[in-house]
Amino acid sequence: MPHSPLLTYALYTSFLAAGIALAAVVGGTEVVSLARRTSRWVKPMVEREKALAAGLGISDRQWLVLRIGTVLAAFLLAWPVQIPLLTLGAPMLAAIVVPYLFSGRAAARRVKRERALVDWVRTVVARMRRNQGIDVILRDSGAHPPFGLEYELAPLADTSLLLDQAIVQVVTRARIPEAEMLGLTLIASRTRRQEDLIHVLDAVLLPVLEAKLEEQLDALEAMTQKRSQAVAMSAIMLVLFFALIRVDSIRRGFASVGGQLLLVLVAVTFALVLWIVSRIYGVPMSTRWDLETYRRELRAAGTV
Amino acid sequence: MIPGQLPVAPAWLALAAGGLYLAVLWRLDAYTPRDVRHFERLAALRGLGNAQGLGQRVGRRLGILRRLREELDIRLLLVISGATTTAEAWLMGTAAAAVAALALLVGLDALAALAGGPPPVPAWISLVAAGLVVAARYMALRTRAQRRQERIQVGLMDSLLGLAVLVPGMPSDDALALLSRAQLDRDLADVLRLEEVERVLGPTSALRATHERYWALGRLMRLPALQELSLVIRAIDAEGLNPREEYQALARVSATNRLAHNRMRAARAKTLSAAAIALLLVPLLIMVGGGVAFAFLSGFAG
Repeated sequence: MPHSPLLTYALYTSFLAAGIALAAVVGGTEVVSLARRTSRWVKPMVEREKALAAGLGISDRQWLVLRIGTVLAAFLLAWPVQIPLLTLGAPMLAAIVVPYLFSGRAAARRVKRERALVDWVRTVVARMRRNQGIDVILRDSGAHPPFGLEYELAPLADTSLLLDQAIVQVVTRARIPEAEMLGLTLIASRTRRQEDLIHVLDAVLLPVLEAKLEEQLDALEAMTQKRSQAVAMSAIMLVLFFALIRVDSIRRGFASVGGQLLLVLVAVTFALVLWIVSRIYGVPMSTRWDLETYRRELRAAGTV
Repeated sequence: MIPGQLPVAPAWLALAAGGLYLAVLWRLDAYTPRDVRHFERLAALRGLGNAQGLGQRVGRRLGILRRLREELDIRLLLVISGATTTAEAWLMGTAAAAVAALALLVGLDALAALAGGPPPVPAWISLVAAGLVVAARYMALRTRAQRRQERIQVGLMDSLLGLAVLVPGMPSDDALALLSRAQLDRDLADVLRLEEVERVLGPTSALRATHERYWALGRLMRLPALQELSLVIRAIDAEGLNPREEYQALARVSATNRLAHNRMRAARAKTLSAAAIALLLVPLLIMVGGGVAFAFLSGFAG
């Protein structure tokens, strides 16, 4: 075998890299397992899908069926065109585009429910001022829910549940930050003096909820603007693409290896621009709460 | 230079790399005892550190240099990102990744040389690739730190309402710890754990008053919400203010400030997104241009 100084150098550097890596591990580098890395990505993704389904007012199962159905439909639609990349790319595009298209509607519906929730809190405060007890008001709201919150408030009518357990159920169903804040407040202060609770709801919770609602409205407006521009441009691209491939020579060109690479470039550039746009301003981050833990800890501490 | 040969002898290159590595470790105080480092950090946080290095002295006068020093502070970025890795171990890991990239590319050249062909990757590209690996590792760490900082900050702001409800029925630090444990995101709970506070601020930090601990933690990890909270706790403790009213006011003010901040961002986003959407013309032009080119080529061929 002929001697190459480069090969010797490559071997030396490989050994050096392995040695430094070993020293780094011995020296305390945190080695994160693949399972932990994966769960960091998967959990928020599943949570996002569930929130989207809740926002659209459909069950998780219905949302899953819709997602699989659109992927299959995209495959069946792309099949007759006989461009291999399109046959593979269309289902992938459907998997990405469907949540993007529906997220606008989900956000609009969510804001509507948030508004209904804030209005309901105002009603609760007004009834408390008329000396009605909070427990009575909550149970009554479960039995006669306001418009738009029928599904969310239903657990309050279930007398087999303790009231704070029912509140946790309401929050789990609603999947909106405002409901979680309301749950935090009610679980901790429901058993306090009526005047204190009225003060907390009126002077603290309502201004915070109203500010949050305003935030969501602004985000929705910005999101709607971005989405409508992106959808319009995508529609133009699709119409132009199908107009172009009606010409035989162009269709053959796109079916060739060079044409396929060009389509990949188009898809990558398009996705990159959409990603840049989505990074400009999204829905403001909100903390997600585990109210069951909160309730249990408060009970254990004897605070409620 | 003969193709396939290095500009300098490998031994000199290895010596230079080793020297540079030792110099970086020395600059990062890797040889300073841990207790001394903790003391220096505490002294600096309390404004008592007067033994400043040249970089710090110049940084005080030149804002851009100070910002650069802060941005490149690997130890701080690791603390903020919640990694238990030491700065030295992180640097070693980065060096290993860079050298491995170099070895891979030089290995490709070696294989090409063995096959009798010219090296596919010039030596300078290998070095640039190694540099890019270092830059990518740094950017990943910085992004992780920024995201965690943002999550903790939001977690804190959202906890203020809970504090307004729970205090004075419960001590403020217990209430905040309980609220942090009830968050699905564990970052705030991890930051407030006593062992973590001791790891970050030093072994005696647990003995300090809550507001002092929060202030030091907020300053070190750049968490304004924690600093604001520490000021409120101090005012309640020192001036005897009504905790319920103070926490309720803080929750309201924080929500209003956040709304104003997000409004500004939303308004700026509208202009920016309109400009960014224009970029969608690029894939459109590529597609139409490609189609037209195919039609022309077919016309010429046929």
